[in-house]
Amino acid sequence: MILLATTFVLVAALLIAQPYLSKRTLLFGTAIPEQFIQHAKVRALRKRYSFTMFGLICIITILFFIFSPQEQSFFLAVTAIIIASFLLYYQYHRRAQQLVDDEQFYAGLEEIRVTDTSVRARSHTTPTLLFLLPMIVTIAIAILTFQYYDTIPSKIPIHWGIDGSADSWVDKSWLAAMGLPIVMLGIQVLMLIVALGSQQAKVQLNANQSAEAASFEVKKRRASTYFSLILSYALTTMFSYLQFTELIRPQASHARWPFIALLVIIIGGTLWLTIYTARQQTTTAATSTKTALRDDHYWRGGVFYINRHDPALFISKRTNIGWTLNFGNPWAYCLLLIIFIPLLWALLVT
Amino acid sequence: MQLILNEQSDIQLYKQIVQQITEHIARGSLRYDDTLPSARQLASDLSINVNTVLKSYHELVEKGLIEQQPKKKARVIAHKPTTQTMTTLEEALTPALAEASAMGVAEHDVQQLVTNILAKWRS
Repeated sequence: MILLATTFVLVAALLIAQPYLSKRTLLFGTAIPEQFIQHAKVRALRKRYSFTMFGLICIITILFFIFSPQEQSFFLAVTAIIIASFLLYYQYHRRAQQLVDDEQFYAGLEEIRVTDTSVRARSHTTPTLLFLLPMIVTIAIAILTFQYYDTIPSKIPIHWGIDGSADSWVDKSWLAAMGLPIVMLGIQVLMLIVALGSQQAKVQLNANQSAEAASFEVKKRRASTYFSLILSYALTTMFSYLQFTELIRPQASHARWPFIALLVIIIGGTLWLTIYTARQQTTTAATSTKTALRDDHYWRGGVFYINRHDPALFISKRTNIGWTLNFGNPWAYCLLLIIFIPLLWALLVT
Repeated sequence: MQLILNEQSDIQLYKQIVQQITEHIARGSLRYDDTLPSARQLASDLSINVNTVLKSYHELVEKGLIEQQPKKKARVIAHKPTTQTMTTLEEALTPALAEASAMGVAEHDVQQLVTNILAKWRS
């Protein structure tokens, strides 16, 4: 209960603070020149969004407590808040576009493209081998499962509640027994892809203070790599523990702390990454006449990057937090398929 | 190595890349045996066509500043002035100097200018 409430408060706080966490040259998915990030109307729009989001969350929370304060309707309330945030974002995305056009922010500015070729080499600090170690653990666990297959219980748990107790089982089969190791491997591959992707991603810098922008890029890429590495190890530990206590050496009950620890790592890590990135954003307006090339038309809805003429595959999200793919590149779809195969497998088993 | 492309400039994009890489070599921020990013990667970072970067690299190869081998990254090659370099330089400078003397620029002013320009890379 405490865990759910904490998660809820954190998510609500992130939603409300969103305009102040993302890159300042991005106003609800619309690029604005560095010169205007503190423009009165831009500030007003950010402020109004945060207040509206706060109001919406309060209303939905109050409705939840008045009508049915139960666990089922809690998830309904969370869904309502997420849908409300999407709708609100989209409305503000349109308003921001209107504002850029009305105020003619780009008039009289020179649009330039800036890159720094040293960023990739400087970001690469974690050996790829570190990401392969958890995969070796997975293979070892799979071999153990194979050896102990005869002693595995006839009902295999496939779903666990938030407190770590199994709440769904299937009949024993090879597919079900190998389910966890396969999902584990899928996650490990995904973490490796995220780490490599964040190191290799396109290097596009601000037009002003580009040296600072370059070192920010390096920090952002390193932080992202470390986070993927930690997640990979945490999930491997947790899944190995589950496979061991449920299948290989079945126990009547198991400790709850690995689940809590994992949750704390995931939530804490995401929060740290968000705040760490947000704190490094430039918040002072530029005074030069140069600005980064406007690429709004490649960002559908301000969120999906589709540029067929761009050979890049990994792109920094426009908010500066996290990474995305260039959906104009056919490899993006291949990659999505690779990522989703383990998930499909999981669905197949259940 | 930082590269900045200006769309509004009269200088063509490929030329801007050539100039800036040349300046990096002159300034020493690019040294002998340093590799250049692949044309594809640089094109992606700058959101320009791969052919534009290839054209720049080709010109740098012709100038004898970089070396390109199949399946390898382009790399900066040591540059000891050869007679060929001096001839090219003379060809490039002659029209500019002819223009200067036609417009009545004094010889020591030209020399001062050359010293000033060279100082940019030697600091």
